[in-house]
Amino acid sequence: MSSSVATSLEAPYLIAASVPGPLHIERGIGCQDRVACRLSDGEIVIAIADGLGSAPLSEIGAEVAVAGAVGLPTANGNSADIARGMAFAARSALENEAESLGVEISDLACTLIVAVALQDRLHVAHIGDGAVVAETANGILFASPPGESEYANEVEHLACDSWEKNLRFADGTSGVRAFALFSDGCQRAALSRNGDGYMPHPAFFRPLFDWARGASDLVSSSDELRKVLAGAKLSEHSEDDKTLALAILRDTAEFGGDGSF
Amino acid sequence: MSEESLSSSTLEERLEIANPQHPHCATVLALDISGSMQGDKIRQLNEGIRYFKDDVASDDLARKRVDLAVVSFGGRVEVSQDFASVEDFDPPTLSADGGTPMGEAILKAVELVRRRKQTYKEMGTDYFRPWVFLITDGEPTDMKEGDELWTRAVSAVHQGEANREFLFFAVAVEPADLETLKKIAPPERPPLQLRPGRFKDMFLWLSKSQQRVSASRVGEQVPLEDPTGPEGWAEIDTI
Repeated sequence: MSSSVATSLEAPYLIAASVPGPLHIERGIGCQDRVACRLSDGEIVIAIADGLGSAPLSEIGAEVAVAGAVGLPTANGNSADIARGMAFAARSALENEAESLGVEISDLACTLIVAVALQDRLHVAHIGDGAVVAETANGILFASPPGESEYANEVEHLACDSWEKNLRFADGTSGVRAFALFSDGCQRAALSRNGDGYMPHPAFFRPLFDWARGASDLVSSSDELRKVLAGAKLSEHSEDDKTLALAILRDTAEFGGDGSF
Repeated sequence: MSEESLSSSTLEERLEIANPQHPHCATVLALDISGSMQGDKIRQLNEGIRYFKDDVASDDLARKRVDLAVVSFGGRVEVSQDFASVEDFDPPTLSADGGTPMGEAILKAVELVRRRKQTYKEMGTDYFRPWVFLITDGEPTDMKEGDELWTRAVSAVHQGEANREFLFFAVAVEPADLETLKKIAPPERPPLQLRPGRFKDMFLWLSKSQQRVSASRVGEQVPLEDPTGPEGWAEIDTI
């Protein structure tokens, strides 16, 4: 991620933060979420992984998964293939790490979301929970929703036997002006739920995208985002680790100024 | 409020939280209060329920997440306490009398779980896989192996487990008919036999297990403390 300080930010850019959840802090467990990203030639590549609490080395799994995903060379590839390739690279990284440590891959279990954005198109590869939400001319909508699961503590992950079957691809959400990528610790804040499933909550995302568009410094913005994730409002109903990344692909000025739809 | 959170309050204040609810865990206690439970056993059962409520309520997360119901069966089946949060749960004082309508009690417990999950869905509440915890000191008097009620009750338990609808635990209190209970309990989770006088330890285990579930998160199987260790409250029949 760029750490340069500028008086204004020119899109595309990305602001991300990751914090341990209150329960993890209370129990002396470190943050098991990880995020990695790369911005080059106008293309944003980002991966987040959430280590399972029951897997003894899941923070290592999350670390190698995002590093493996973002480390995949992307020159000359199309974005859809890149997103797929990143997910497979993350899985390979887990397999290699398990072998290198002499442990079962399940010890490194984590969920994974990877996103590749170029101009206004977004491609996602996703296993498990967490989600990607896009701001488009048609409104705030899912680029990739959480994986289907009846129960709050059961979902697919990258280390399970059926990982390839459970890997979901969202190819080519277009007209994307901005998007948010987040782990499940942010889900109850970001997504409402009824009998039909989850929906992005506009009153959560609009302030975030507006704020991100007004950012003038990536480092201080990331710090401010971190404080919000660790703050009382988001912690009240979620004891879990929280990761949130906000990507601005187009400056507001190009769309008439107020960002309304 | 700390200085740190004050500096971020502008953005934090502007955010609206979509679903400000905790995920919930529905637990049904299906309790044998037939005549044979009279005396020390019903006293220990009543004390155990109160102890369980207090212990669960002492955990910050579990207090907000565990919902409890009680189905008692002694002579007839009664919902002694419909679902309530553990904070609002008022432990009933149960009296022992009558036969053991276990078949109908099992069906009632399963029905309560299904209705509760439907309520969660309608409210947009996340939930964990529910628990049914059956405690009996006898054998069913409302059904015999192979009859219609038996088929419905056993099928409800076995298919419910196989379809991951709930977790079903059966506990046999001396002199329960363990052989019959083994046929009723899910094959993957045989009944536990309570060691004499260990009601309170059983309810403590149940409370700690509920606390673990309340704090568990996505993708996990929740490891439960083995109740059958040397210091444990139960035995498993290996024959």
